[in-house]
Amino acid sequence: MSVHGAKGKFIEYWGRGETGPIAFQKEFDTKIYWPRLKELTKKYNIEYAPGKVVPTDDDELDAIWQAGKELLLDVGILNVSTERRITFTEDELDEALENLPTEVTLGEGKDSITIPHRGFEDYDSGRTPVGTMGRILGPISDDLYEKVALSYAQEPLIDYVHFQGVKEKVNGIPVKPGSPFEMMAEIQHVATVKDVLRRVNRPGFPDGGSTPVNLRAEMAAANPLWGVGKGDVRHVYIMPQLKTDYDQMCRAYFWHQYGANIWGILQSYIGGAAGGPATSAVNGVADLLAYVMLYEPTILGTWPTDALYFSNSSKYALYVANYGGAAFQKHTHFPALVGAAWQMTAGIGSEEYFWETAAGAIGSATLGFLVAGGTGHQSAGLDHACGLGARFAAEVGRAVGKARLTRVQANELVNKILPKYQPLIDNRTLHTKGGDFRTVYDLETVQPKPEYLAIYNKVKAELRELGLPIK
Amino acid sequence: MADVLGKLKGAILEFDEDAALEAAKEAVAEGVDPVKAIGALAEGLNELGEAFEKMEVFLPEIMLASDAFKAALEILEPELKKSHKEGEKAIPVVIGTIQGDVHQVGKDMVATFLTTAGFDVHDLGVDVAPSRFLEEAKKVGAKVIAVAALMSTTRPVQKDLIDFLEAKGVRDNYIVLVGGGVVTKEWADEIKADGYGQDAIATVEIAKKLLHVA
Repeated sequence: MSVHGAKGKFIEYWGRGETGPIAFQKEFDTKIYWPRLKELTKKYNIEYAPGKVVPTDDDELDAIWQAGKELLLDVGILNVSTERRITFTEDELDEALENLPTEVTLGEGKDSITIPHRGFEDYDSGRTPVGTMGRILGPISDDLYEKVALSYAQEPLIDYVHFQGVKEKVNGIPVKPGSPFEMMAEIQHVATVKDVLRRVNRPGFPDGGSTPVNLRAEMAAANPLWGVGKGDVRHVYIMPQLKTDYDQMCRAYFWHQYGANIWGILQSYIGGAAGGPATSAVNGVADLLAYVMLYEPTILGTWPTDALYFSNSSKYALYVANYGGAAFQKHTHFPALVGAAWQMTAGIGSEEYFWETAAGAIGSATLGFLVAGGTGHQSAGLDHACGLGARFAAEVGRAVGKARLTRVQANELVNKILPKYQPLIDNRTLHTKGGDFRTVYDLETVQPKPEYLAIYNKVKAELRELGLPIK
Repeated sequence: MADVLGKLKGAILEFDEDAALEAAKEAVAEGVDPVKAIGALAEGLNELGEAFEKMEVFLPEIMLASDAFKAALEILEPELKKSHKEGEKAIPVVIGTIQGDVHQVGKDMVATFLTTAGFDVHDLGVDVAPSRFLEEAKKVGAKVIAVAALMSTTRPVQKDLIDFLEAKGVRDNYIVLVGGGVVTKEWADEIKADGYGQDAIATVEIAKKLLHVA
């Protein structure tokens, strides 16, 4: 665990939520947060335009950074449990930024990964991508649970996984939040994941799977002998937009005390309370800074989404992830962020799923972020996660490093890829594409079926035609 | 009269509660037909709904416009009663995210689209117990109960709501719509919900279809 950033100031800062300026949630959203976000975005001339996906202009990033920083300093973060704002001074924020670590280690022993800070287009300071995060999110059938986990654990290019498949039932009983069945499900979930990791000889592999709604269910698996390891990572939530609560503070407090790690995300809902792409990018910087001040996160990532039709990989979501994330990366020495997209919109059995993965990974690898992949179907469809998707993200990232793509080249390339799936986001049908794990993996060998590999290889061949030297 | 109607609509388009109140008072003082006055407000909301879909206005602004609409309505509704006109009564909808689930954004999007489409939306917020939906639906005379669940573990609580309605013998009084990240058409069918909305726009469409309103 790395304790850093605000360095033990959390008691003081969380305590401000007991005495800070009172703001009811609606008042905060409409009369405090939103007007200031709009003003700052305008003041710094931050504008989205079609074609902007990977940032190429450092001045724009400086503007987004400054606006995001001012947003947090001006409006603070609302503790919805007390309906009071937690605010910080600029000196406090600057001091916390100076105290940030430059690298972090996730996992334990030979299976750990050390993630350094990485600059844009930096292909000489280590491997590209800096790392690869696989993600399993959404409901997973009981009979497939360990097979889906194995499909990630067996992939050598994947460094870190959010084993976050949700068990829907225990002994036929629905798993509801706060119920004892949620605790049982979490124990089964963590035990299964750890068993799978032992079987592939990666016992210290970092798991970031925060599955339960309730902290006490997460705590049920906090056992260093068989459960959550000290190299593992659990989620703390800055709720949209710029809000937190006692539950999140308890999560952070518990996991830091336990000795495990915390992950957090830039989480703008584009078209929702965070406004359009430009205001959402500004909000994203404020989100990441709020984590630094309140939760001493070990690792941060970018997870903006379109609010109307849930997509982590749309043209807007990629703009916000890349611009907001790059602004933070440029102005801090924090370890590399986990870039977009954390989950694809299309089902895993489709070409579009691979194109979404490529669009995210190209920008991420160029900007010095970790690449991510694995989950499809908006993380909502049953059994829509597999290791091949995350492997593909890593391969795209490697090809970016081999080609030493500039940001301008990366932006051009992603703009050639977007037309392959964005129209299906525009008409809200992309989630209907592609089959699930049963249709794409051989359930006996836990390997991708030949017809699935054909789709994966077809997209790779087309990427090569577009100039990306992917193997 | 056209001027006052323009002011009413303009106040909504500017998300301005004070201006909406002023315009409503002016409409009453000038003896403007309250049905037409409310129609002007609704037109404004409708236009905002279209702009919202195109990402030209955003959720906080719709929330402010909705407040302005409600404030003006409080002035205009007594006039409607006095004139013994029925007007077009907005259909009450109770909406919330189900118990155990604190996800707000998707539910807010649906509530916003329902509001701009002319429904009378009663938003219970997040982490709402099934019994609370029932209580509010009875209180406001709701025709529709819209329930969001964003997580696999909170989805089963949607079924609890339908079980409660059946147990109380009031299931047929309400159209129950379900939605949210992990909710599917199959799930909606399995728990015998009346409709499923893949997203906010689809939810409004299904609500209108089931209520036979244009």
